[in-house]
Amino acid sequence: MRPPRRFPLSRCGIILSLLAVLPGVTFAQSSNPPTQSVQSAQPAPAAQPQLPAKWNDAVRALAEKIASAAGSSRKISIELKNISSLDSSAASRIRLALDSELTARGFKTDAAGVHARVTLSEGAEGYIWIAEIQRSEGIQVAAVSLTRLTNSDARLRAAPMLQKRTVWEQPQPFLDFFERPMSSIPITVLSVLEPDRVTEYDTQAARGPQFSGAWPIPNSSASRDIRGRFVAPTNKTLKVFIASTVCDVLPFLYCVDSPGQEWPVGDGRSSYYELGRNYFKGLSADEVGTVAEKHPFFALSRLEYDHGSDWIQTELDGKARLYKFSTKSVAEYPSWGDDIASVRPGCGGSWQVLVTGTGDWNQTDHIQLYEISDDQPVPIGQRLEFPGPILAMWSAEDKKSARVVSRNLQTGMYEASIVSVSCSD
Amino acid sequence: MKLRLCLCLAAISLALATVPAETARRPRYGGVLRLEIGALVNPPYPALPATTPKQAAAKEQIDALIYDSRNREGGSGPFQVAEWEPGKHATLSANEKAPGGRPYVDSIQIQMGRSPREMLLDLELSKADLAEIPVEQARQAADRSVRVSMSQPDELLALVFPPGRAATEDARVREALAQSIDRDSVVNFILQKTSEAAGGLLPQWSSGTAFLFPTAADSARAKELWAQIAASPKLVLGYDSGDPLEQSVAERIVVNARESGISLAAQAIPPAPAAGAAATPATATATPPAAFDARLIRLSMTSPLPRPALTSLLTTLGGMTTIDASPLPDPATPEDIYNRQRAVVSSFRVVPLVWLPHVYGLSQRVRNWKAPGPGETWPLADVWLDGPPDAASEKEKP
Repeated sequence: MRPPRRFPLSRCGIILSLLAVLPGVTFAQSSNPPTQSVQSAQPAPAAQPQLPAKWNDAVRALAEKIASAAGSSRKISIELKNISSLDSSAASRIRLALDSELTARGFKTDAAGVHARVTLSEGAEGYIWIAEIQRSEGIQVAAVSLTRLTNSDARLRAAPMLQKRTVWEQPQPFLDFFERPMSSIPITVLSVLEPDRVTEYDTQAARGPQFSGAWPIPNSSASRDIRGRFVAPTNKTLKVFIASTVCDVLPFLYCVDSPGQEWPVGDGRSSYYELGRNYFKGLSADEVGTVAEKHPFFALSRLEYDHGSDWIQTELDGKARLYKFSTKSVAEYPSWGDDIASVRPGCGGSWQVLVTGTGDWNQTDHIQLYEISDDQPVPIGQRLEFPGPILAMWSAEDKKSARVVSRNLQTGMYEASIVSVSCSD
Repeated sequence: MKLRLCLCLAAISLALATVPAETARRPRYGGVLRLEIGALVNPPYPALPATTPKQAAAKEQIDALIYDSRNREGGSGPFQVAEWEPGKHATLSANEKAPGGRPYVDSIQIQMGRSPREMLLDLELSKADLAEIPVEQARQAADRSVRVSMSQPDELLALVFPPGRAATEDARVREALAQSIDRDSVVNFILQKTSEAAGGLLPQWSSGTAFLFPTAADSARAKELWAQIAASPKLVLGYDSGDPLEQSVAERIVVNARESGISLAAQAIPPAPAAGAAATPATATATPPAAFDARLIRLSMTSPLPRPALTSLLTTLGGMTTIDASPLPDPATPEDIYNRQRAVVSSFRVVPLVWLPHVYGLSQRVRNWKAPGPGETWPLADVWLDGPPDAASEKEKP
């Protein structure tokens, strides 16, 4: 278990001078709710990036309070210290913005001016930026607070080979998501599968997702690790599988609950879901040939070749196993996580497998790409890190990417992202 | 200095939170979780009141496993009582129809009345999966290769001056004693750097403003104040006789006070009764008996959020001493939170000393454990165990 990084080592001890300060300060709070938006994983711009809008608001509010405390004096010296989880780059940008705001209010740097010590701190509710303004009658304290960064504010990193595009985040848990571009109008519909309902959002290029509706799922099974997924079969009707329930996503949600319901688990294969648990009972005999033995599994990944297809299962004993048209495994991979998804990116020719990491739900996670060569997994490229556990991963319909649901331990948000393999590297 | 201490605490937390060899991530069903506690807890029915704060706290944790938090009378929590031998042990079995789904483990075996030494030994010998460890023994447990999990520091050890004591009515007396206390020595030696010196009523991780409250001792100021008092009183500091940590801290405070010329004696007092303890952890400490000029108390946060946490602390402290316990504005700005703390601390009726975390020892097979925060209970329904797979799945194999 890795404790949250409350007090990082990055501290900015910059002492600058600006202007002079005097009387009373009033206090106000600048707080912004978390945002939800669609965002691509873009490389960081080379130039000094702009502050997020809510940071600018907070800087402006703090500058206003400092200016108020300074009274008629226009000479000030600012000392900035960062004891929050913000990195030094962010602290520097805040410092520059604060200097700019004070300059705009007529202040000038002067070491002999009133001293204001600004501390970038952090509490349970988010960031808190505090100014201690030295005045003749004592120290005046002013503060502004704002919520922590979300992916909408922070740039994302992608490993050289694997790319991540975050499409959605929300505070409530969800199990899967699906993007459907509309054929007639430039709108993409984002469906989000929550444990007890399906919500939909319309997305246009010019604006972020807009809520368009929600439909409850009747008889949703109770499980602490409930699993569900979207499947888009050839008849174009999006389907939802959740425990023993299957639904058609029409203009409404049409659901049927049947304990005998099979799930599609891997490119044409299906298996029964173990009700009240979080795994599948195993492939039926006709799926694997003549042997009737079943091996329960969490995830199945199919690798199609000219000679037939192999498949890999992550099983309940913590091992992944490779099968070749038999229920007797031909290889074991003991250090894989429980979620796997096969992809065929088109630049390597062969099937590859996306594999999550090990650990539990209090730890960060990653995805590693593998090729299976002589029945042995060969890692390719660097792994793609996630700031929290990956809770679900399903192969996308295009076989070139996977839908990933994860939880960001830093923000507490559940995130939906598309992970794909880059062929350019 | 405050920042260095925080960094040090974070580093120690990292060092102590040893994680077992990693296994697969998705939860496993099955297994028996072996839990050891120090208190002797009565069965939930017939409902008998707890007699000590520790018993009340343990009972509250177990009740949360049995009852649905939304309906405490319903008896439909994640576990059901399968067996209960009062004062010895209990077995809770998984409720297949629990709200939110069946727990991952099949059952929890609770051994009661275990001493800290016994619990540490059982963890070391893998005879227990989970036990709470006194914070002052966290380092020792880690040194003995026990897997240790620490919460955020959320319990305040503080010095409280009750009203009506002639010796401490002069604010200079209280300030002199407060300025003489070397919190760093408590943190570094008694608590072996597993805690955080406290200057305010809320920890830094909650309020973000704790760094504004100094924690360093000022012996010169203490001597100066004490010299101003004409008839230097002899003070008595009370501490809970059943609490070894309070005793050690009280003895350290006596040493510090004497170094500043203050006459102070430590004296044990009987443990506080549990009345009301189950309702609000912050009230688990008793009103200071009038026979003492000051006493050590432990105050648990009831929320991670600064406003409700401070409100709860003020309510508790308001019943013990003469501070302003009036409600905070809702919503409260950071300045409201800071100013109220500043007012209380400046009165020297309450002297924050140390923020203590809760420390748990875990076996290597426990997965997905997260030390509960303020107002939370043991997350045992969400814990799973490494080991053989679920029996149900085993049936599938020939």
